[in-house]
Amino acid sequence: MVQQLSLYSSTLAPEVVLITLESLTGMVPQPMEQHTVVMRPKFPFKPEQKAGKINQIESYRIRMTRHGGASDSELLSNLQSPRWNNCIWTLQIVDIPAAGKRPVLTQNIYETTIVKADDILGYMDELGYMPEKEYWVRGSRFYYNDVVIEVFQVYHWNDGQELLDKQHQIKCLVNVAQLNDLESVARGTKQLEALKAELAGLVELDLYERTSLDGRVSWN
Amino acid sequence: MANRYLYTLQLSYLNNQTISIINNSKSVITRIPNTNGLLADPTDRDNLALLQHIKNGCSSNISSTTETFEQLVTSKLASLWTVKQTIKGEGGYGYVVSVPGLKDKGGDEKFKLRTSNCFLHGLFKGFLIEIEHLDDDIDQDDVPEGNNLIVKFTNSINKIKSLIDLYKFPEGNLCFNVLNETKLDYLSDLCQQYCDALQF
Repeated sequence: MVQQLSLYSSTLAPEVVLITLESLTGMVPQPMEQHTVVMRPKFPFKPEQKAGKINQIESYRIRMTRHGGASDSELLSNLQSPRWNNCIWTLQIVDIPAAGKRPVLTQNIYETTIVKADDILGYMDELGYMPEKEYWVRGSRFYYNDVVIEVFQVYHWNDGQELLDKQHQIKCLVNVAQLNDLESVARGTKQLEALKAELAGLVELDLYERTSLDGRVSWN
Repeated sequence: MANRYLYTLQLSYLNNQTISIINNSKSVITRIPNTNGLLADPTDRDNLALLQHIKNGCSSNISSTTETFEQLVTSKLASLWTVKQTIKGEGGYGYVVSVPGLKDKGGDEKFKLRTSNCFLHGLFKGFLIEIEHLDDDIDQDDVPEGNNLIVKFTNSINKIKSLIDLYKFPEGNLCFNVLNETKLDYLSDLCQQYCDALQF
């Protein structure tokens, strides 16, 4: 599990941002190619609502992410494809980001990485999940102190990979391994705020609407 | 809906990895991606793939993450799965033994043995012995298939049975089921056998 601190922005002029980030970080951008399949629970989960009993159990979507780029074809229409089993997948479940007035977005991310599977879809099916959507993320990654900066665009499948939004998304994040590691959280927050000040005027880094990052499934 | 059982197996000698099977049919092996094991042999093909995976930002876990797959299931998939029992093996030893005279031509046969005391909720439940026949004839890269595989497998089982007879191992429940008969997989089959053996 990691606790992820993050700030977001978007831009229509990625060239300027990329050059700025190159000079700020002093590094050549590292290519980033991700292919993600969103899984949803097969059966609805509707626990009985009883008075005086607070139900803490939620059901979540699972994001499965692998390294995959522009040459990828749609996987959801080809459930028999050997590509499902020939690669490493990271399963990810996210909580809704923490509420309250905060300088950065804080979200708990639970993950496990599958390094070997004979029939991953069969396993996920037994686990109680089925594929729902897939998308690709492509762009660049920079590292600045503890901060990872990602500049990317999102593609979905429509007879080929199709760009979802002309804008380039910018995500700046710091991962902290322990929930109670307040020192790292404070340091990460400070670094994100410093980066925000550094890039002010070029891009305005800000929080993201927290409900749109909710990983829970609503059955109502 | 029929009951479903999810098993996870963690072995002290397989650092950071978890083998998981559901309903005795499907298996996956999970691990925390960027840990020491990755640095041990960076030229290894699997490790290189894992490095690519991390570099592309496909995983967020960092090296100080300690949560295993089991913890993910119990904490975040509670709407689907609840823990039934946890069996812990302690005070284990590993041996490689060479047994003369078991081979058809009178040569030595090698076995790998692992033993462990199994506890359920702190109560001793049994002594587990894992026996692996180390077949010199099987080359790691040359995976036998079809009939050949069944012959090899049956041969190894017989060798293990003669070892048990020879040294008068206490009688127990000998488990040698495999997950998929047409495609043997060392770790998933091991997990399956542990599941069969540890039915308390």
